[in-house]
Amino acid sequence: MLTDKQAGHIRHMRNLMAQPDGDWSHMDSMEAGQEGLSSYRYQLGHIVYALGLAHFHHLPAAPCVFKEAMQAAIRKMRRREVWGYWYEASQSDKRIDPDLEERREQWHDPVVKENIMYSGHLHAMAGMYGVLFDDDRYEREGGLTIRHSPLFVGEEMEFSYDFSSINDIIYWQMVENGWLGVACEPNCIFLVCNQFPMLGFRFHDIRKGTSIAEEAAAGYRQAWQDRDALDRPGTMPMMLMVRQNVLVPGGPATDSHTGAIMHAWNRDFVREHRQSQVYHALKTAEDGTVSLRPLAMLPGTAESYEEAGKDAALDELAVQWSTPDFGTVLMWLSELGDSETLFAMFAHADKYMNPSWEKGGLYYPRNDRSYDEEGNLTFVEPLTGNVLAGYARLNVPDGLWKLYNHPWGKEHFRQPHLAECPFELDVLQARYDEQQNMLSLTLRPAIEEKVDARLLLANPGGGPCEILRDGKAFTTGEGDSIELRLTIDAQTDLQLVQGSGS
Amino acid sequence: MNSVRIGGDFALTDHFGKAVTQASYRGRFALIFFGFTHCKMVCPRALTRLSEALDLLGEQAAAIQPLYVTIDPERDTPDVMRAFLEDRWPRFTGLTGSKPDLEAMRTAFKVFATRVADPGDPEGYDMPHSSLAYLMDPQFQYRAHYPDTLDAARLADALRAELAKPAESTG
Repeated sequence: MLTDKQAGHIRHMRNLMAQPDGDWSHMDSMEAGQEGLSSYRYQLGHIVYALGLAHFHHLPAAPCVFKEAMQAAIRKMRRREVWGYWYEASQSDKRIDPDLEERREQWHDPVVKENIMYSGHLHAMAGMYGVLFDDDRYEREGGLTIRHSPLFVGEEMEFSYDFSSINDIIYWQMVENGWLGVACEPNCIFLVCNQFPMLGFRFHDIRKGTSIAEEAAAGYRQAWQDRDALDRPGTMPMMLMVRQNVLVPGGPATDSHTGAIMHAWNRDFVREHRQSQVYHALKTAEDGTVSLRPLAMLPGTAESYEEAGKDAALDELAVQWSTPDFGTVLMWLSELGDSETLFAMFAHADKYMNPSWEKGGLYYPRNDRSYDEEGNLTFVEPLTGNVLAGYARLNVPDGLWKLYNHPWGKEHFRQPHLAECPFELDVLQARYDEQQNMLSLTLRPAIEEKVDARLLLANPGGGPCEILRDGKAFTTGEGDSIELRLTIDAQTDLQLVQGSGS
Repeated sequence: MNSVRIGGDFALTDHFGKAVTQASYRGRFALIFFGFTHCKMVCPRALTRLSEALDLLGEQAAAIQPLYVTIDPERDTPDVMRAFLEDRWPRFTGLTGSKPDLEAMRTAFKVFATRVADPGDPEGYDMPHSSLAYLMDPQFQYRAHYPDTLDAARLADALRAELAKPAESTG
């Protein structure tokens, strides 16, 4: 059964995805131009992953809770506000390529080359959707086409893609780059952004019967081992500057984000190096709550932080936070299963980061102020506040690893499930028990006090079924699906029991 | 639909010193591997595995021309390639050429290759490179590619499946 907070996070993400296209309320961030880690594309991508994990681990028999929101995220991902930054970014810059002699000719298409910070997410989002819903809408030709029709200035743009064509484009860039990865901004291969297409390759294997993930994992490990970068204790690099052949150091911020996703396909490595990567950046308060040391989050190892000495620590409160480090550490802890530290960080968040409820949804509102007057970390940016806190509360230990390695088989989609349910209802439980031939649902109004609901139960099993409401006989039904109409004004249990109807 | 194109025309020299292009191999499938004769690990292992897979095909292997394309034209002359291949991997024909021509072919096949110092040979250099094998159809159009994680038996099965496909699906 979901907790109130877990249900609240799902509701908030669904609320965000239900906003009209072009309405980015709650989702705007400090940085202009969709450059920072709270850019729309990262929020949209992680919303899909968080909702996907919630569906897979908590509400496997309620696809209707997640499907529309994930579709909306994939649709919004293809809006110009999300990817339009690439035209500017594609020309490169001396800050990211100091040896650049002349800016490159720009291009609009955000998928065709580089920009894995966009295409890698679109790839993983579409793949996860297909795996979780056995739905091929993004696999059909043109299923992920990106269009923009300007009103006054500029040309019509249409970039025709589907899941497999994006998969091919990313795969061949990986091959061409010796499996070090694909660049985000030109000349910059960030490790974290290349973890998401690793998920996408696996999802492609599951959906299309290819065998890319094994090759990708072997190639990626070898490529980075050849650079002595993924087979030793300590922090992982943040990125490779390709032309300069320079590895830019990482630290707990990048290790946590990279490790949280890499854990799915490279679990032993992430577990082996966990102690040397993030824990030194944790700060335990007298009340037992845990937050982060800002200077320890900067690039560098635990040893280099120690060497910097206590003088540096005195300046910590002067640091202006700007990146979603709190959220990525939450993600990382949830995947690695360190519940104790995770709870202590949530205790800090709930005490100092203004948890807020709106339309039945729980989030931590953006707060650009780094510390309160007592020196408690209060900074929240939208990726953490809207998404990553929810991701971590909804994930389970090894959660992404399990989805990656042990996805549902076809039999899952033939089981009884809640196929349609009003948006206004929260679903707290949705699970089919094969031993008892029983679908168990728990529902409650999310926003209004009362919901006149139409529910559709799919795959009830062919024979007669009995429906119980709060343990008492409610109705019976049979067929390919059963439609229920009922008023729900409080938390309500429904059970569909196969083979027991008259 | 935006898609990735693999392969293309080329003009190189085979290990007999004869000028060849993609047209020279039309009518048979081509199994192409990129490497260099100073390679200590990847190439010997791959050429052995690919040769074993072709052995497993029996007579069907006659439908496939194995090609070994160098990424190291400085050292891999036709004679060097012939000496490298003819005893240990005689099924393969080596292809070399000018640096621009080979770079163009590498680009067309999305081949990764770079030049780095060789700690074991201060006078020389090493060339880490990708290890895919490419199957081109009898019209020299891309058909499939195979990673080095595929063992000889599985590779033979995969090649057999491609050879069995009807001609109209070629290309």
